[in-house]
Amino acid sequence: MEDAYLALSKLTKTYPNQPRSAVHDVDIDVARGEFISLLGPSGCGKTTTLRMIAGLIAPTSGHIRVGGTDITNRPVHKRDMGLVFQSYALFPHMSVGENVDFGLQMRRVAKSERRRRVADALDMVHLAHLANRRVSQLSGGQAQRIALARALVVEPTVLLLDEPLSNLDAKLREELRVEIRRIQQETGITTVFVTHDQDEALAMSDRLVVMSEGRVEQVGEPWAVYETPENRFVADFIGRTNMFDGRVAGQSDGVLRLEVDGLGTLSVRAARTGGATATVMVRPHRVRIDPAERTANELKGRVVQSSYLGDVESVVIDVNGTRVTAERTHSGRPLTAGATVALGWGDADAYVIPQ
Amino acid sequence: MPTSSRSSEGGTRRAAAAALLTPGLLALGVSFVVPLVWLARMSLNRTVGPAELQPDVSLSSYVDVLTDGFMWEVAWHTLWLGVLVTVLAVAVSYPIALFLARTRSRLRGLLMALAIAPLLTSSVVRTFGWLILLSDDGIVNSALSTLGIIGEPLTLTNNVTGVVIALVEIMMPYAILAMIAGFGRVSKDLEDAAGSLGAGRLRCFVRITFPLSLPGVLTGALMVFVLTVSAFITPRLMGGGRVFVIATEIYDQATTTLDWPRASALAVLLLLLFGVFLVLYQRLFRMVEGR
Ligand SMILES: Nc1ncnc2c1ncn2[C@@H]1O[C@H](COP(=O)(O)OP(=O)(O)OP(=O)(O)O)[C@@H](O)[C@H]1O
Ligand SMILES: [Mg+2]
Repeated sequence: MEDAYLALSKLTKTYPNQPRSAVHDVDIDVARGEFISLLGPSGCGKTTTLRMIAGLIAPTSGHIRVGGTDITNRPVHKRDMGLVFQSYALFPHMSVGENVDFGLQMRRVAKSERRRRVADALDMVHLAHLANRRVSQLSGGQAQRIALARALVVEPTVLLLDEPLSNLDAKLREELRVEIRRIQQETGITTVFVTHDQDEALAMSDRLVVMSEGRVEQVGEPWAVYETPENRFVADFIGRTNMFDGRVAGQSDGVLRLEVDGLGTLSVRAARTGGATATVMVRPHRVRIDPAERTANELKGRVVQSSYLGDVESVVIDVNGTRVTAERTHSGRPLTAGATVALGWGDADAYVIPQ
Repeated sequence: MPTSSRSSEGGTRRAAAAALLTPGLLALGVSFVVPLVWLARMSLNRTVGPAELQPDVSLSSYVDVLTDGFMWEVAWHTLWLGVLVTVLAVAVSYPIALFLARTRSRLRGLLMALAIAPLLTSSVVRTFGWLILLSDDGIVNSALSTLGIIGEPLTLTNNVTGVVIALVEIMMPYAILAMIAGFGRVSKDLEDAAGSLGAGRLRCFVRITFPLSLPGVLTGALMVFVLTVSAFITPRLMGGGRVFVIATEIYDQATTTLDWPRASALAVLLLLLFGVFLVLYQRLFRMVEGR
């Protein structure tokens, strides 16, 4: 990317005495003011990547640049990056105000300006009234807001957040999610957000970086990653999905015909040509049960299990030994196991995974 | 229903707790409380001649001790030795304890064992070790004179210098253990946060790590102080009879002068001194822990 503000190139970390590298050849470009999320299963190297950006872990190889300057070897306290931890990491021997003030003190900002900026930062997170509180007297949500204020008050070049919402309950998590995004957009700060919660990543980010086993699997806008995953891992990791492997039986007018064991021939819109096999993916909410009109792919099956979740009903259907998961939104009685149903989806509802 | 089941559950739990605590409390009672009461009672008796005491309830032994100039000197000396050894032992042990508390090395267990291994030998043995090392023709003096650094051997035994050196070393494992236990609030995340906010190593230590380690330092200091002030063997052996502290004085009164009430009164006064320091410790602890 031409206008990358934060650029990671070939970033690799191999911990001592570890056979595999925790992070391998990671290339990520973040534009100025962009909110990017690192998303992936536990142990995929998100924290390692973030801490390398922060300067807390020395990369084995590769480079980190901010605004064109190589900062790979710059020590953490000279990097000017705001860091927010899952554990809040507020200094327990200081008051809330002193915590927020700390970074300004380290930068030898004049006292009157410090007072003003601390007040502004606390205002930004709506906690000005807590300035004199002791840290131990804060709730989790308050503590994380203060940690955010503390990181932002020094106007860092980049804001780094490592699972900042993981210690909070669901309702608070959603609330703070909105708040973090608001503050990020108000301040226009370039942000890297680490999470293993895909809802969080989808809802907050300008772009997602999906990682697995130390490598970047896909980078893209949330909708693009969800709708057009580049490989099986991403398709499986983001959202729920049905995936079927099949043999290519033919292609015409942008529609690929695929032989799948148990399901027969499926048609799916795809530009793909060549290759004897392919994997097709259908999101459960695209599978219609007892469709009113005709669809490109029509099947019959037996309900194995139905989970009623309130807003949707998730149904597992056995079609000649192959399981298909469907979701339907409706009012009414859920399906019972053993019932025979018709199901179908259009050729545009499915997607051929490139690899 | 729920309340009754909860209270019966609480009842069994209380019974279980009592059952578990009883042996320990009994042992403490027999080995600590009973002798202490006996000691306090003894201090109120009156001495009429060497090894001759007259049952009484009198404060005469206390009056004797507190009006004796030499006793005040010994007390002052003891206090001073306690403070000096505490400061030195804590200072020397602090970096070791901090390292052990924070390292994620696989050798941590081994290093930890090494740090406290000296506790496996009695302080008598260790004091004799120091006597050999520090005597006029010991290793330290002969090394220094061989190197031509000194002409005359340094007097490192039979005086306070030797007592301090030996006590500091003997107290180190206790100091290290107590400090590690008190370093719970020192955390890597907090140091990383301070670093990201612009604090270099030194400022991070001064502003974050050190303040957070103070509870451990205080606990270590109290431990060393109490053990030093009540230490008998090392001042006796290393001091060669020339270093007088309250503990050696109690011993002399009890075994040489055979003035048991006086020895008991001294012991009770020493106990009161500990009480004062315990209160002081709690105040300070609340201060460094609280804010
Ligand atoms: N200090 C270390 N020494 C050796 N291996 C480590 C160290 N820290 C992390 N690892 C390994 O590196 C890999 C990546 O770890 P990392 O903490 O970056 O994962 P993560 O994506 O943040 O996971 P999580 O979602 O669980 O936080 C893991 O396999 C982990 O076991
Ligand atoms: Mg992590």
